[in-house]
Amino acid sequence: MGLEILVCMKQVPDTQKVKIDPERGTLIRKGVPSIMNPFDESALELALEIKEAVGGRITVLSMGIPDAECILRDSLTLGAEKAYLLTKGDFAGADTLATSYTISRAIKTIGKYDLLLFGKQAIDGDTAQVGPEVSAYLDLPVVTFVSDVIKVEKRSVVVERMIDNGKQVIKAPIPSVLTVVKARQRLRIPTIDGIVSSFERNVVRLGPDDIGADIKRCGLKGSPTRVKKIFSPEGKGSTSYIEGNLEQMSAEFIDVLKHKGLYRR
Amino acid sequence: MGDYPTGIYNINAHSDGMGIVDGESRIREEYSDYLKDESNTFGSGVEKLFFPENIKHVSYIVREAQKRGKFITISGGRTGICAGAVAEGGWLLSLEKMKRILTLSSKSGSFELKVESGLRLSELVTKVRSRELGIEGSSMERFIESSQTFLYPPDPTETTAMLGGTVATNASGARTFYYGPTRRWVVGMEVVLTSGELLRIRRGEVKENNGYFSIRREGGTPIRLPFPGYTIPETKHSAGLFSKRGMDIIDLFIGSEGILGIIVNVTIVLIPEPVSYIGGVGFFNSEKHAVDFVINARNGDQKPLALEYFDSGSLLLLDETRKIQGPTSEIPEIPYISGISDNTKINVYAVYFESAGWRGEKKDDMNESIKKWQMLIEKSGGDPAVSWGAISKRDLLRLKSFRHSLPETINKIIAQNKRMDPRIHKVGTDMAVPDSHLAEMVDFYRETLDGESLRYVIFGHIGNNHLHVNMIPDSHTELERAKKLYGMFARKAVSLGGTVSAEHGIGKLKREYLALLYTRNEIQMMKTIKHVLDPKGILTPGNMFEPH
Repeated sequence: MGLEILVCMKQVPDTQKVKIDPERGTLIRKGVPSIMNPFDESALELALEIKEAVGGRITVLSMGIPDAECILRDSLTLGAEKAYLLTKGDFAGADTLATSYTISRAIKTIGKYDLLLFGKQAIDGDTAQVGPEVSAYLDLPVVTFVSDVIKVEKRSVVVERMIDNGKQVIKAPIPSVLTVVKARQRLRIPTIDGIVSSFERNVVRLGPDDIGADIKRCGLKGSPTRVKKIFSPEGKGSTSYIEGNLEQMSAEFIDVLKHKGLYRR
Repeated sequence: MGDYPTGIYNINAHSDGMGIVDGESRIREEYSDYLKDESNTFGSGVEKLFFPENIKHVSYIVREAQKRGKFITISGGRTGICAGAVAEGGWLLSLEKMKRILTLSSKSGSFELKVESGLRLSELVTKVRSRELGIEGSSMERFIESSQTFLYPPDPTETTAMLGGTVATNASGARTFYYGPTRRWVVGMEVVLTSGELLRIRRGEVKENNGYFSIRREGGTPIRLPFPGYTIPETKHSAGLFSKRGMDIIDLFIGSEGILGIIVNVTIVLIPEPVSYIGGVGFFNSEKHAVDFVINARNGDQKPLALEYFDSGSLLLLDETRKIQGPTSEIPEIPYISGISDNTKINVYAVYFESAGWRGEKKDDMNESIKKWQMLIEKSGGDPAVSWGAISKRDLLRLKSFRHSLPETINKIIAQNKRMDPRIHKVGTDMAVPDSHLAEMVDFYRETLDGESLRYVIFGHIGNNHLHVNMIPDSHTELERAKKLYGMFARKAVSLGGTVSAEHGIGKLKREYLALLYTRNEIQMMKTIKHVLDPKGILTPGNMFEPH
């Protein structure tokens, strides 16, 4: 049958390696590598599996600085056919409202899609708002917390979604927006042939004019959200790290316990 | 270091502020980690454990040991697998507190870094990457401001190894294929001799001349140290003392396994790092095709940094690990294997390859390079449609953990088998042969092992014709059989002009194989050299030769 699948993705700092400047309350980004948001990796893997099962084409879309092209290029090596990057100063500083507006404008411009996949949330902002907001702008149904696509039918998909006490199976119409959780198979590794064929494909860059966007609704200008303060939660007590191989670490740990009188043979 | 030409210098020894743990039972109970290495060989009867913090402390220990007739064993990261750091009685000297970075000097586009022996490789990598060496000076400013990043090329898998240990064992890693072993990147060292004096060596200053090294001695007569004079295999090699006509004296100490002196610091070279890496794993349905790929990759213009092998048995083990780890596993789905239920007879062989992009090259060059790998896989009978490629950091890291998972997986199985019989251990070969004999050696391994019921895998540094056959015995009978096979493999490698140990060294566990490689007279020559520097034989008894 062949589905047109769109995967929206974001380049994020590897938050496992990010620290917060305690005085200024801002993220220290220096030297922190950028990665594809892990939830978006799951969404892309799901898209690739759907494509393998029923055929189709995958388009990837992102908004960010020019360097965000890296995650789109990686997607092309894995088998995405088309890639678009929204990158222009007017887009900078966007909150989820302005982001969703911009992305929905772009989607209306670049094509019609059967399934629109988002990672459930990005690991830097953690809002989980962009997928549902885009669905509102596009007037499409949305299924959040999707963990798998069980079946693709002619005009619908059957998906599994995670809920607090288990799983829920839902039939959603085509087209729909799905936001994907991380509990899936990890994003695959590209093949040599995949990398070579990606050389033929380019990442198309889009600005506000290309998507007919009102720049007052984009970027910082279109963002009512104000960040009042970012801070590290105050730690209680202190943390010390034990280094070395397993044996050395265990031995040192036992020493610490002994020192505190918590270890007896 | 330029202030001190190669020679022997006096040291004012003292023990002020040094940590000393006294008493056999206390050491056994509270410091048992210091009694064993990664081979799980346990030492015993250690009377004192020293934690020297400087050269004067080390000098003090050897002087005292001389006076009291005590043996000294040197302990680094204890990541070795031949028990070189495992002590039987006597005193144990841990270098872990000597981990300072001493000096940095800039040398035409690269840097030389003088570092104490106890710094772990992982710590060195972090410090060099972040450019935080904790020292000052004009070279340091140049280092910080450079637009390039720098790299210490040796990349042993065990990154908790200490730098001094990697020099004393001439350690290797996957990228040794391109960069050569540790030896190539060491330009200076300081060694505390059993006399308590300090030998400072700067590469290029003292070379073999008429069968001897002549070393000047501060305020005394020079030492004449004989040169080994035998021929060593021209493969990757780490067994016995190094020997080559006209060799530098520093090469005698690199790979000497602590029998000649205690290496307290080393001066290593940092070179510009490649700006990008290409990694991949080619998959093949026959072992011959995989070997062809290696030979083609070596002969082409790809200049691989590394070529690493995985046979079917290795890939099956990795796939088992992947399934146990579940969806978060770093190991990708393996072509031809993953998803198949009965895969015991599957034929799939893989070669990991890696090449680099250098400063000044264009993006197109990288694309061309990947296309060349694609063609090479195809030409050698493999399938680039299922073979993996990695150009992003994420994928390169995944391939790294793919490679490193295998030895860990094997060790887990061995640990299980050990519960049935504590005598069981892994029997892993470390032989290398010249390029022209790669296929013959692989065939010999396969034909020999296919006739056995023993579980085994073959993997490792195929670019250097240096494969590890890991035999996994599940009974004492199988263990004995594996040891016999080991001997057969060693003799075959030597008959092809190869070595019995390419990287693991001899230590205390592989002494018998030294005799396959060298004649009695040649081994006697090694002992003679040791005797000049350590007449009472107090240093690391049991390494390379039987203890007295």
